[in-house]
Amino acid sequence: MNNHVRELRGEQGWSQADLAERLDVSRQTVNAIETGKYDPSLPLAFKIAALFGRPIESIFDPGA
Amino acid sequence: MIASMDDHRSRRMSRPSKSPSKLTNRRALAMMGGVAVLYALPCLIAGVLGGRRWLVTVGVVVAITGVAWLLCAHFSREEVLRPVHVRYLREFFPAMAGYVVLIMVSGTWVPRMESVPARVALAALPLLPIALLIRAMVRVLRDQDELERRIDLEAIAIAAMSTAFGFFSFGLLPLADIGWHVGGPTVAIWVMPCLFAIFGIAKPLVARRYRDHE
Repeated sequence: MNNHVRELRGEQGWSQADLAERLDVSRQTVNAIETGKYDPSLPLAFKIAALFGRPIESIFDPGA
Repeated sequence: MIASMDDHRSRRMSRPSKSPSKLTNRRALAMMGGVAVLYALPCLIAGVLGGRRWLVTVGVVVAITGVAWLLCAHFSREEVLRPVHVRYLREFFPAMAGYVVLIMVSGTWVPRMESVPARVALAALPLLPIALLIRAMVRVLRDQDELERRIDLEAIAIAAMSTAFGFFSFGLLPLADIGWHVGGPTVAIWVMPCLFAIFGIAKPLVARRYRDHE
């Protein structure tokens, strides 16, 4: 699954650690999500969408 | 670009000033490793001088664990521990300290006791801190984030399967009658250390699958 978490985080000027703190997850989890190594659960994906104030489908897309 | 600069900054230092806890993974591992090595040395010396094999075995196992923790502390990246892991360490340390004290008490006094109930109670005493340790592990497993939990559960599954496979193989080998005679209690005592040791090896390997550009 592709996502735009890294770009959105960059727009906010947050480090991975900053985002991790806001999501109450570890920095490694943020890194794994951004690099596509790990697909977050639905509750965490909704939390990410709410944090960036965007619909979930504009952040995550299943890819081709 | 901003994100990559941010990552770089985050790689060098994981905002220790913003976290409520200043305890880092490297410091915690170094502390645990140091304590383990300091504990192992008198065990080894007393075991060798007193001719007590069980004490030498405890010393060797603890020393290997301590050196492994020190190596992990040296090679891992500095990260501030999240509150869930600080709580785990607060529960882990007293349980482990209790275990090392009680295993010494048990090992020393059980052979000298006359009364059977006293021997049973004393022999089972180290189980109490082990139960507290299991409780701490279950609590951290429940409360850490979803990826951390997934990594831990995968590592536990690998450790459980490998341990079962290893001990099952060990159980079959005597059929070949190659002169190995190991008592049941010795085998049973080694199940948990093997499980924890394989978990400790499997966890960083599993975690590598979820790492990139670090």
